[in-house]
Amino acid sequence: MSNIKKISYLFVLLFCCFATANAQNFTLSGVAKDNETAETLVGATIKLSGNKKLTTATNAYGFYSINIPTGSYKIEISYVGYTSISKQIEIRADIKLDFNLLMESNLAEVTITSTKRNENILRPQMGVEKLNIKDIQNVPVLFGERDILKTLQLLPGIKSAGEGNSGFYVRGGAADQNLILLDEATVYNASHLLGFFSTFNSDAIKDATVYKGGMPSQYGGRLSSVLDVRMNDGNKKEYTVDGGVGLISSRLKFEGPFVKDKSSFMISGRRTYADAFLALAPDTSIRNNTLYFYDLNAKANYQLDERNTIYLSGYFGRDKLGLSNTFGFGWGNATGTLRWNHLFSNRLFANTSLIYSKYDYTIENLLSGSEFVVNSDISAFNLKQDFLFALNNKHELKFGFDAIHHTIAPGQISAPSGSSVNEITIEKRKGLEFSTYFSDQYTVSDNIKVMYGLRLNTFSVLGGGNFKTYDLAGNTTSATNYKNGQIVKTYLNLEPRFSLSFQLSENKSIKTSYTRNTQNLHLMSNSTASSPTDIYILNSLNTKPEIADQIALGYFYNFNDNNYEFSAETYYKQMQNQIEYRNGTDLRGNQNVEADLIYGKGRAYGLELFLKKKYGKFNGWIGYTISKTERQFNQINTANWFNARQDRPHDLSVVGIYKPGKRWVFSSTFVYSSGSAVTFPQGKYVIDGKTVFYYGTRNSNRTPASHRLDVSATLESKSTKKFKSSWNFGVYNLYGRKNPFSIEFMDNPDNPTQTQAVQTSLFGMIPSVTWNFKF
Amino acid sequence: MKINSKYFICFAIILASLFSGCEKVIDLTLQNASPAIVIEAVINDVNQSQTVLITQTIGFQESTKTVPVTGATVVVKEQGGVTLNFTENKPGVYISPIYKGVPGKKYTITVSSGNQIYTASSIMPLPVEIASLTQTELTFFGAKKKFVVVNYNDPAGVPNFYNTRIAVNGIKRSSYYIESDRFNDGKPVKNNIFTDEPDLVAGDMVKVELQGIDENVYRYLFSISQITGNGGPPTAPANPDSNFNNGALGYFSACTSRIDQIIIK
Repeated sequence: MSNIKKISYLFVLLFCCFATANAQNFTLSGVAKDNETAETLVGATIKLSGNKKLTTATNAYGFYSINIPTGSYKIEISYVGYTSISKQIEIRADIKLDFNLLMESNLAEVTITSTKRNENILRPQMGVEKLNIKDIQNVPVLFGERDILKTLQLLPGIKSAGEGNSGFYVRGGAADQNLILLDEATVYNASHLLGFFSTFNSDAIKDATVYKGGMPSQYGGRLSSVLDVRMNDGNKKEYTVDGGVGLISSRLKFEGPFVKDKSSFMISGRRTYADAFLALAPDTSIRNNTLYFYDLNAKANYQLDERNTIYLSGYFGRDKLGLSNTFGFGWGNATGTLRWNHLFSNRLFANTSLIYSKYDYTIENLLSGSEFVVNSDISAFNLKQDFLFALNNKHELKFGFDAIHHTIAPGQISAPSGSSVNEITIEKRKGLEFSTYFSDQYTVSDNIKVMYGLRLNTFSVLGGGNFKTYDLAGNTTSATNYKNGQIVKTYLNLEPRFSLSFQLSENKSIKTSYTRNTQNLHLMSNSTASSPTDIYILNSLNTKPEIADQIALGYFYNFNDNNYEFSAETYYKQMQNQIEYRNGTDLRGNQNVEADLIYGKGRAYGLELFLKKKYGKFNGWIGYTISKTERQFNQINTANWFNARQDRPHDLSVVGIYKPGKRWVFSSTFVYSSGSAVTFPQGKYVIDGKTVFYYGTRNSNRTPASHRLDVSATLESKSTKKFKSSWNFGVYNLYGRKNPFSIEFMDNPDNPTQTQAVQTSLFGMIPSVTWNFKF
Repeated sequence: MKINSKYFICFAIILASLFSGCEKVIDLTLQNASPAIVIEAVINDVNQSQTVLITQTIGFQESTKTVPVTGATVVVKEQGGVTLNFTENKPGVYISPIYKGVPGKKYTITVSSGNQIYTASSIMPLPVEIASLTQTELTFFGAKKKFVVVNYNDPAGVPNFYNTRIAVNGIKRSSYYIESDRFNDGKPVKNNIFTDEPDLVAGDMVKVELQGIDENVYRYLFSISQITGNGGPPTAPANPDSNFNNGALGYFSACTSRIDQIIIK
């Protein structure tokens, strides 16, 4: 604890320094908005030059605040896809200055040369990628279903969990080590339909930011990455309807003002109709099967006065699979966020959020005689308080706290009388997580910026229930009953965060960062593919918080008048308290699942190269990653390091978008990745008449490499002022590459003395067409 | 519970076929591990010669089914009781004198081969009778299929593990049908035996053996079947944990055995 004391003294000391340094300054603050919809713009860059040089960005609510000395300044605000605004201002007193930016596509025929931006060179943050919904609009995707998660996978350091899959791995981490937030609410399972779609309906999304490293200290809870997705606020000026009709799904969005310029709402829905094809089948038993998902996003905001705004947003989505009279399966997420933005002063911005998230699944077995229903869910209540304080022109402070109450109901089996299945309820598990954080973005000099911070995380395992401890062999060593709400154990972790940028010249910089992340919630999945029935466990007497330390070094270079961005980032990451399973672990309805867990460590390192052309008729990017990720467990592979499942040494993505004129947009992506690390047989034998394979070192083999070319073309129809529409045509996997989804080893059916390897590929060449409209 | 995962995989395959996916046999260069010993030893409560099979692993590409291990010494000891000395009657096949195992007893096997000694032990569970065999018909995506249902009354209050083996018209089906009573302790159980390729048709004679096995053997067989997707999406493959020591593959099972048969209508 003495460390904490020292650090808190340090904070006090720092505050004193700031206070004395803060004389003769005034505050410039305001909000950046879209001119047409009044939608706030997150992460717009504000650049001041004149008496002082300074760069900042709008926060998650479009708000910015700068504390600067008296003088005359040139202020310039820019945002991807919008025309920059620049203004001359005199600072003699506190000023409130809002910006209404104009979208580039809404401009006259002439291509406006927008100001080139070099914020990627200036800011200390590294390992970050921000995707605006407009960025993903033209990238070709499976079934023409725009998907922010699939576009993210085209960036270096972010790997797809499988072909056509919305799951992803960041810098050698597992899929459950990504913190996925939708309007601050955790989304536990961000995929639909076995992973082929993400839960993020592109209509409802404003933007997404992914942090691969150097996470700012307001984020915590997962080891590998943070994906912060924000929903649209809704048009504050007029009512609009957007929609799309595609091969696999349809979407509809309605938004508009409650009170013009003051408050608005947005409601958006999407449903797939794969089951509509089933309904065409001649056989009734096929017709009665179900296979679909839907999503609903809704958001409303109300500006009470100049200083107070309230936001309410929610998401609800559900997947349904069913076989008539035999089996039913449903799962889905629900989130709700209530937020209050409050301006204490033009320098102190506060946000209070009350958040609820839930994921649940239900399995119904309808087979006569063994009917049962399984219910399982995980949920969290979260109170979050964030402050943003523009101390002076050198320091921008962020601090706050985050309290989360977790509940996991791993499984409840209910059965009607007459069923052979017993009713079983597995004990709920509860935990209370409390974090408090502080960070400062400190402009040391014109060319050195640092961002440093600290996050203190405590996690208390709460009763009631029976808590056991296990020895290394998985035998129970103790069992204690705890009362409801009683603290079973508390874990405490300090997470330092530090990044530094050193600007070598106007267009070159180097950056370095160190980040510690911890994770108190662990996904139980011993399978090679993720499944909706995967369950989570919290820390316990046996399972400790996962810890990751990452260091990164990067070189950033813009050239050709900031038309091109180049970056090279390298990282090394160490992970502690990683989880694996003993052989034959059955995770289903298992009261003592922890007896089957083993704990080890991990390491990951790599180099990510990224070249992006941002502007002009032709733009796009090339991303290449070379990386390694390994695990070590005393009980596996004779305690030697082995490749993690997500280890794929080479990963290449090429994205090109070409806009020859006003109406057509052509785009194409090419991806290549090394095969996944898998274990192939090194021999075979027979047990009870069946061929069984003999395996060697874990994950020492690789599936064949995957690669694929996708193309798409979008045609904007001749639009009237009131009605706009566009057609999108796409071909996924243009040259029909058979990429491996799984490789199975089996007896040759034609010659039982022979065995063979059979590769399953999911997607051949798939054309798609989507019609989008807006009025 | 296991049926769910099968449907789950069914859906994945349907999705794949809807979207022009495919399966093909591929050529892979596989390493060949040095041969390891595989011991498959079963002692049951039927009055007969008990059998132990000893083989060794072979390369993936090799076309023979098994390679016997000859000249081994096999001894099984009943706890506080007899010692059975096995003799090799065919290469790799070791048999005991006529012996009926006793439920509730612990058995220990010792196999000596090639200067190595392998031991394992197993406790024979109390027997569970087959109450009846019935048949059922289920529809899978339009195709009606017949299955045998094994009905038995699971004893309450004790963990039970089962291995069902079936033979259709005298030909053994090479799948594992293993069950635990985790979800149906003390209940009358109706266990659908999902067998196909070929599907059961009217007139087929299906012989069913219901074995009561111990937990280690259940877990051994469950590990193998998990790799191919029994009990959820397939797990990362690894060699199952044998109850034999010294690196031997295979298992030693002291089990009860009940046999019944049904003619499919």
